[in-house]
Amino acid sequence: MSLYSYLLISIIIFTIGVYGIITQRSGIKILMCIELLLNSANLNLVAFSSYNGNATGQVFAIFSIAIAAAEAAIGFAILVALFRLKDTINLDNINILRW
Amino acid sequence: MINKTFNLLIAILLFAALFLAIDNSFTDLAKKEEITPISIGEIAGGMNNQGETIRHGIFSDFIFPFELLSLLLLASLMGALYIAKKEA
Repeated sequence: MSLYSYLLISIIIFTIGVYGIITQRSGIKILMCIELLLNSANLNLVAFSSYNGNATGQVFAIFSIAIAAAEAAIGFAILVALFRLKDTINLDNINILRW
Repeated sequence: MINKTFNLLIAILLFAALFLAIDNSFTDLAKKEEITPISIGEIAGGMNNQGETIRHGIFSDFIFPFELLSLLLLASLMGALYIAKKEA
């Protein structure tokens, strides 16, 4: 496979993630779509790393996966706290930050 | 259902913009077409002792970000437990 096909798959995954974020209203689905965005960026990093013969991109992909795990943990904790407060995680009903 | 078609239009426009950017830069800048396939043992640094492996990347070049990442994971663990704990 050439670099072009890796980049094509990456932008397909990125577009699916953006479409999911702007259409879905459930908190867990939005967190899953954020993971899709991060994984498309990781795919770009690994593809360019193999293209250049340099392992730095793979190392940064590992760091990025760990940061994504931390972000998912914080996101689910926020959803649990919101569910205790409002009895729903439908984000249309949660507008407590609205001015 | 004007809203749903509007969302789909945004997604298609984003895909078109990204695709055109990649297509332009690829035809301009590509020198070699194929990615050289590297085995997982080679990229993990099995037996060779020169650089450019994940082992040298994590444990010598990027050792400070690696240690910083452990602090980040610990902080996010404690923060997630504090946010999600049952209010006493």
